[in-house]
Amino acid sequence: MTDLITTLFNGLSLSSIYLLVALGLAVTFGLMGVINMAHGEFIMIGAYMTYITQKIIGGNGSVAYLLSIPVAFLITFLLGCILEKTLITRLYGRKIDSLLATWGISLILQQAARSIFGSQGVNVNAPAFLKSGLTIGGVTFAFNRIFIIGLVIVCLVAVWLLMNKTVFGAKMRATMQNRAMAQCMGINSKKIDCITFGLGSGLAGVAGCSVALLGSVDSTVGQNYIVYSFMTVVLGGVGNLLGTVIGAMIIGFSSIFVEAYQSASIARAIVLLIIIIFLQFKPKGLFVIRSRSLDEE
Amino acid sequence: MKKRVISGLIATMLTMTMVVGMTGCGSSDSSSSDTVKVGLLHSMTGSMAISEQAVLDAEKLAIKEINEDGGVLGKQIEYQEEDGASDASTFATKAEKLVDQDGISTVFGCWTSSSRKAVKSIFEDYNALLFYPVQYEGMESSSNIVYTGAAPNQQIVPAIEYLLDQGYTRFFLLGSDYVFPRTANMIIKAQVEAAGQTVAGEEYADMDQTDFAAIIAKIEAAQPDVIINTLNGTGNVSFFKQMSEKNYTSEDYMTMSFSIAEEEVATIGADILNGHMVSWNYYQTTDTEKNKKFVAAYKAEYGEDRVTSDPAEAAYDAVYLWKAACEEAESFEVKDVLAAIDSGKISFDAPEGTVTIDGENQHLSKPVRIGQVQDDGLIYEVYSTDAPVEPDPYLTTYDWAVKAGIKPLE
Amino acid sequence: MKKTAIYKEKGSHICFAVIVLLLAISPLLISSTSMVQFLGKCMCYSIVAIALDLIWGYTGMLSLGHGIYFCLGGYAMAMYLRLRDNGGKITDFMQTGGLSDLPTFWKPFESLPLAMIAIILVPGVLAGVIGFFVFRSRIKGVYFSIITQALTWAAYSLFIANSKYTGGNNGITDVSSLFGNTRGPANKSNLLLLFWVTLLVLIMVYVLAMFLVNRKFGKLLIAIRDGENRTFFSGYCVNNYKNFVYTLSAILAAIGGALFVNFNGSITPSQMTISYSITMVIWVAVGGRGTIIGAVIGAFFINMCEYNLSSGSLAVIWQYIIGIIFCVTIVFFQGGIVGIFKTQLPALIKRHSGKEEVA
Repeated sequence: MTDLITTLFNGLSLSSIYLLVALGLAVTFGLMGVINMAHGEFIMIGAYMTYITQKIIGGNGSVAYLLSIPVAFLITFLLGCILEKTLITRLYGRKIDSLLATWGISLILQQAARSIFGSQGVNVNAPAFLKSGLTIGGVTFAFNRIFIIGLVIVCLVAVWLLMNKTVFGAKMRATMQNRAMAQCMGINSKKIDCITFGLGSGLAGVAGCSVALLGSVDSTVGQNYIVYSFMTVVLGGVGNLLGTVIGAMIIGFSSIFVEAYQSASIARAIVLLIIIIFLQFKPKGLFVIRSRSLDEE
Repeated sequence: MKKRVISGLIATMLTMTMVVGMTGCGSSDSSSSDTVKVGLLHSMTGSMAISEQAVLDAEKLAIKEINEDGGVLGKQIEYQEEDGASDASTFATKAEKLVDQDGISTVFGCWTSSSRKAVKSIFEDYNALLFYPVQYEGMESSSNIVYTGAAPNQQIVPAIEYLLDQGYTRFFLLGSDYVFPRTANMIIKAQVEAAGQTVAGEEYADMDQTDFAAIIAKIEAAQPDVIINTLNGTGNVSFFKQMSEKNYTSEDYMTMSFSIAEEEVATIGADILNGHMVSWNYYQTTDTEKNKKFVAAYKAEYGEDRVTSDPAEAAYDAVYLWKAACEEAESFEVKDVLAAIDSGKISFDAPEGTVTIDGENQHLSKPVRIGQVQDDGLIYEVYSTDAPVEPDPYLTTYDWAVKAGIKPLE
Repeated sequence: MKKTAIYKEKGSHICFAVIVLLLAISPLLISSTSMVQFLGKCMCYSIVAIALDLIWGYTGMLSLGHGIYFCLGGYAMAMYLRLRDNGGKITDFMQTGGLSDLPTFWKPFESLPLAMIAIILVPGVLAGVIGFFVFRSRIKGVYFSIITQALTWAAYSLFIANSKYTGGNNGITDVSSLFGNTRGPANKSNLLLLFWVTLLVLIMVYVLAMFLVNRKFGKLLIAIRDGENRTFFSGYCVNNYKNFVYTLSAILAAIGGALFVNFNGSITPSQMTISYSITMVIWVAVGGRGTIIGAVIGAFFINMCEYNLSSGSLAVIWQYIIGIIFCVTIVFFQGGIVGIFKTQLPALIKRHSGKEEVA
């Protein structure tokens, strides 16, 4: 029984991590159709922001960590906007090209991190309130994992509210669905593009803050998450938040369950094969936005 | 039409100049009259740069010290750095470039076993010399490689002996999925079982694994009293951080790690690692006169916040051992240097104590130290062998290993 | 991308002929064998680049997983060479893994003809099967790229996990070439033989690719790239064409990998990673997608730059340079190097000379 609860909690926790890292991508890839391979590097920047905030404020206090989340969001938001203005804006409608160009950006950002912070990883301390776990009947629920689950719910609700309940969200959806028509209605589509991309990048930064507590903070940290992020978004169906949630759950839970019986490498191969087979039957993911267009990409 | 032909011609001209230009600049002579050139081949980019930077820094420090001290045989050392980019094939290409095209016969380099294996035949075929500065899984002794890190019997075997002496009975083997952990665990299993104790489980994590929840659950189910940790690189950080978030300390699960040195302690956090054990030949706290100088020089060169570690020290030794071998041979020629090494007389008063190159298998005899991480982020010795341990890469002098069929491939 | 015109190929042929000529005489002019080895590796990369160009540049399907085919070819060749070198005995990694006999699936690799067949058949069948399913369910564009990426990662994990059969992370090391040891001046004749055989294969692959793309088949590939549905409605079985070119491309990549092992002396799973597969795409993009010669030029250009520019302090700067080259190429010069010389430069000259005439 305790084993089962542990496994379920681990699955939920892993799903929430995958969801958190994929949420930003669900915005940039799902809504805008930009394949941002530098997404992982925005996660890395977020993780380094946690480190910098801790360095500046000092100690391993909870304040520094809580503060680092908005800081990471703001910095990656701004970097995202800059990237959009300089590069992405020239690549709309060229999905594959956006993938390749952002790969170049990802190389540059990784090297920049090495140049600034050194090749070695840096140490991010867990704040006091996330350090240990809650033990109920032999099962330990780590506070950090619970915090991540909470954080991802907050992010999810915030994104949903922003998209569906605000004027900006309406403009955003209008632009993404029919750019020409939105422009005719007086929407400044360039501004919308910029902010949407910034939002996606900002979410990656927030994910970086959580990732920093789970593992190493170094220049390659983003690479560990990028492929799973894409899988999550594709599996769920592009442009659908609920789909992304379910996609993350499928990947998270199946990873944990398979790994309980298999070695990690085999487990990864099996999970990837499950995803590939799944996409055979649902080539565009779980939730597809139906349209009459034939040549949609 | 004409324009196209012209531009086509321009393109060919460009390619031509490119090919000729790049091949032309290739050949350069190995050394001028007052300098000798060595190669440094490490990953400066990619995932292994995390580890290899410290080793590279230590090698440069040793070269700088030797040069200030008058050089080797009256010649100043010049070095050429090449980037292996954390990719074994790039290592092979770059090694070949160094030893053949650039005419450099001595190279200090590599970290991962895959990079060493990829360049091994190159050094043999060109009869060049590689100094490999990292502890590794053994089962190898190339006549063109000097292994300045520990062989298994200078790190793994004594650590397990120590644990058995301390009364540990249930061992859990956790490693990254590559050759060092797999070979190390093969050895450990034979050793533990020969001592009549149990291996409670054996798990391998992916090299870039970030979530250890499933593995920790397996450890909980196996109920070991000590975890033998051969995780490498970033895996260590994730594993220990995630153990700590489940409230586990060294009192719940003691770990003995073979890839955690001072550098790694700094990135994982001393509070998390406090009390855990590691096994190496050298620590920053090792109490020798030579080490005080080494640590001071290292910090002066690279900053107060940097720490020295076993691989860095082994890399530092490597340069000095090469110097000693050249001076013994009174030559920089590889065959003379190798002959000097094979005499078994080349030794260096290293920060870890005196190390001597074994003439037969070209590993070092070195002292073994079991250490414990303390909350200041440094590792303190809790046990050490009285005398340097002779290297035995194939474990032929251990009965249990021979019985278990551990032997060199014919 | 859609605007890419079908260029007259005369310039390409001249260019390729010059490259071939230079390559053919280069081993005689260059004294260091390592440089010749390196040029040999570049030729193997060119073969892979041509393979990628066929499916990406011409057919518009970006595979981010061609490393898997490169490696399959490489492993098949390495397995044969390994067994030949140690006389059919088991290898060190098998011994470490606890095997005492050669695994059954290694046995066929004791004979050269069977190994040659495996180099073509294994990647061919794998690509054929994958292609059949993927194209049948009409997975295209970005989804195709992501699926190929996932496949590569899965294959990589499997190779790592089964280290007693595959050598794990180390791969298969310490192999000499088909023609024996090629290193050092003493073995130069072996190296020359290997080099020229590889050059011959490169020429054959180039001719084959040119043969395919310069006839109706090639036009159809471009039609699929620019308007798949229209091609479909015109009565062509698009899936078969796509699957054929994907399989062919996989086989060519495997041949490149098999030759690569001869020069490199080892094969590791790191050639199967996603980042390496994307690096292959970089070669094609920089050289010029949609032109066979572009793939060759790109593979040579990027690798030569990397070879010479990633030493010492340049190693750090090199990462910035390659990143910037890549962004700039994708954003401003979609035709790559070939595009610059074929369209941008002539346009510039034209504008310039036009102005002079006005003045």
